[in-house]
Amino acid sequence: MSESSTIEIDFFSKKASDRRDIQGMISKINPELLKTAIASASANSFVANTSFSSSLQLQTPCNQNCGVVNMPVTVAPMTIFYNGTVSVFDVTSNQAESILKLAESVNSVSKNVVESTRVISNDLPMSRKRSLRMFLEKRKERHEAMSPYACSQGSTS
Amino acid sequence: MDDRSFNNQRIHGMSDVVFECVLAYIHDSRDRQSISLVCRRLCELEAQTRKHVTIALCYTTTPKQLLRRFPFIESLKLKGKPRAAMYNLIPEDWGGFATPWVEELSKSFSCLKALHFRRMIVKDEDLELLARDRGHVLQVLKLDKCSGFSTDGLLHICSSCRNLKVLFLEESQVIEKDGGWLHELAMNNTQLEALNFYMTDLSQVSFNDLELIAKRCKSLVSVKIGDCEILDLVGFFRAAVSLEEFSGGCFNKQSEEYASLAYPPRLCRLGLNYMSTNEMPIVYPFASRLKKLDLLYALLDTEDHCVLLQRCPNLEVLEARNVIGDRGLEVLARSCKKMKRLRIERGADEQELEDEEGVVSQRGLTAIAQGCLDLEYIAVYVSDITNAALESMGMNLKNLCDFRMVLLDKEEVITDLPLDNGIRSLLSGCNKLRRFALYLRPGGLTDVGLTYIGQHSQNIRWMLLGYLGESDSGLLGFSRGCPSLQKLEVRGCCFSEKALAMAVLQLRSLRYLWVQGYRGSKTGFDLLTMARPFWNIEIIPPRKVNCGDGREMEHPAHILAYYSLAGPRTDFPPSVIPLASITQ
Repeated sequence: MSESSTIEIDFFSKKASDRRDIQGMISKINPELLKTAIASASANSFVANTSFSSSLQLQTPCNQNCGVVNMPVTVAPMTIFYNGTVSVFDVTSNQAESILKLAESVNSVSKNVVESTRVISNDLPMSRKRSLRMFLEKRKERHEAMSPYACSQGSTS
Repeated sequence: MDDRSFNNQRIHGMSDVVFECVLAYIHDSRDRQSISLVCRRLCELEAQTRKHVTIALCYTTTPKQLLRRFPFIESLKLKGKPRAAMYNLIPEDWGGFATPWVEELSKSFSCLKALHFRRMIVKDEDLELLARDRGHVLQVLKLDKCSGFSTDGLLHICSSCRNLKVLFLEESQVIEKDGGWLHELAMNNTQLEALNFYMTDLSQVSFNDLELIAKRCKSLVSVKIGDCEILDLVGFFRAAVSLEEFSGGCFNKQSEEYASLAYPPRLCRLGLNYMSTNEMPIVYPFASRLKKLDLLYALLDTEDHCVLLQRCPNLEVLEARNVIGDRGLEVLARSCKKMKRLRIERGADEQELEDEEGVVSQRGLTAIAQGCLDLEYIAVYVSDITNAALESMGMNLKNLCDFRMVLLDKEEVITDLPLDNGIRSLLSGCNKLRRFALYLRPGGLTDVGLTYIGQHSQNIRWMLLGYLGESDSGLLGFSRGCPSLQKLEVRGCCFSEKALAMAVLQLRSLRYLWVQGYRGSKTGFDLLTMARPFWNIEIIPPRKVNCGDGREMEHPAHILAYYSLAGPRTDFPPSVIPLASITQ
């Protein structure tokens, strides 16, 4: 292969039986290029939350590399959009996994708390003692009865 | 003495006579309970000399069982509906029927002189039977927050019970047909010491009858009535020379007319309803004598409270709405050093109807903690709170037996939540506490705080937990403690059925549980974890309730569980379901 030309290897057109061919082709690619390709693919695979499977599935580019090749410890950019700000971090695959798991767990807890408080506070208003309630109603009636506008709702002052 | 020596037995070398004499001086029911467990003979002696019994829930035993155990009681107190009924949370037909009790009491309890029904359904026929069979001996009748009867039933009582010393009807829902019952009482009775129809809607009574009662009953000490114009009571006040307590009445006329009103010379417990700023001065001449003041139904603002309380250095009991404000509590703390009982209730929610200053917070509570060191009972609705205020109470109020605090839900932000540390300090400092209620909001107390409550409540027998804790583990931590807890009420918490059931099994003194608001299991079967002999479990399913002003409110389900020697109830209304029937 000449250094200036671009090599395109189309893994998608290959069938499962051509596994050895694919492995052969991978071993001939520039190792640095390969590392980058694997790192970006592995970051994508975390985001997509796919499971690692040993069988090659050509339809899904993510699985392709994961089952066959040992993951190198590389960092990849993780972009986080939060509350109107955008941040980019270089994280390893393990770190990325941890961050995503944390985000998922926080989500489910707050959902529960919100649900339970919503249910409880809506359904159980603070109720008043009967004697006080009767007094406050009577007082309201007295208040309204004594108001100068009580009987003359339509008149202007 | 010869008759006695024929049957004389000896217990530990001492004759029955000695024990009988000693037992006459022992009144505390727990002491008597311990004595009755010593040996069979002492159990019999104790049973024969027992004068008073309180049955905390009428479904825990039967009239026949009571007769077998304590045949000679002179006084009985029976309670029916759960406490939540006072807040309109329990269906009216829930139960607590007095009829089976009245039937047995009238027939078999020959020594009975005093009867107190609380939150029960009493019928006119029950009162008629009682009047007919016990009328000649009945001295005390208290129908306390009861319903189901009318003034016809009262007429029977007042006609036949000529020895009645106490007639108490406070907060009962009585169907009023006329005022004849009071007239009968005035005609037939000279023994009356206390008359109370406070907070009932009985309005057809005649003030002339009241005056007649005051004239004829020389021992009349306490009178609490409904709405009756105060100026009509001039004759009554003049005649009631022994009167120490008066509540009720109302002020409908011009303020000046009340200026010359004279009150009985020994009056020291007072509650004047609808009294406003202008009428307040009528209290001044005897304010320094006042031991008890009820301002729950007065029309005073914060400043009025400050002015009035400053004149009451001997005050021991105060009931007021939160319009008293922090400033009023500060005045109370400075002026009223003998305070024993303080109750601050929740006023109107609408701002126009109550004083702006009318909020109680950590400021007022701290003042009370530092100023009223003899306080035994406090119940308060607060709008804001801090841990420091609770710590101050724990440090200073060493005589506190009863603590109840509700955090109102009007303010969104509370100064200092959660209250874990403050509550721990309060509970460990106030070690005489027997009754405890804490009603907060989500975030008010963590699971750790709830566990603290369990750890520091050695002597507490009754608790109300409202919106406390965060999860089941809080409840389980709580239930590992509370060694004396007999009665538990839970509202608005997030506990699951399973956790509630497990908590019940851990709380070793628990005999009564009420819950509203919980995480139900799909089947309702998780509650069965607490199923065991003598333990009744009832459910009040969710229901829609008419609020009165056209609105309908959804009431969530309740769980009620209690020990009973009587087996499951036999008088379930449609609105209550025993758990056994759910599992069939």
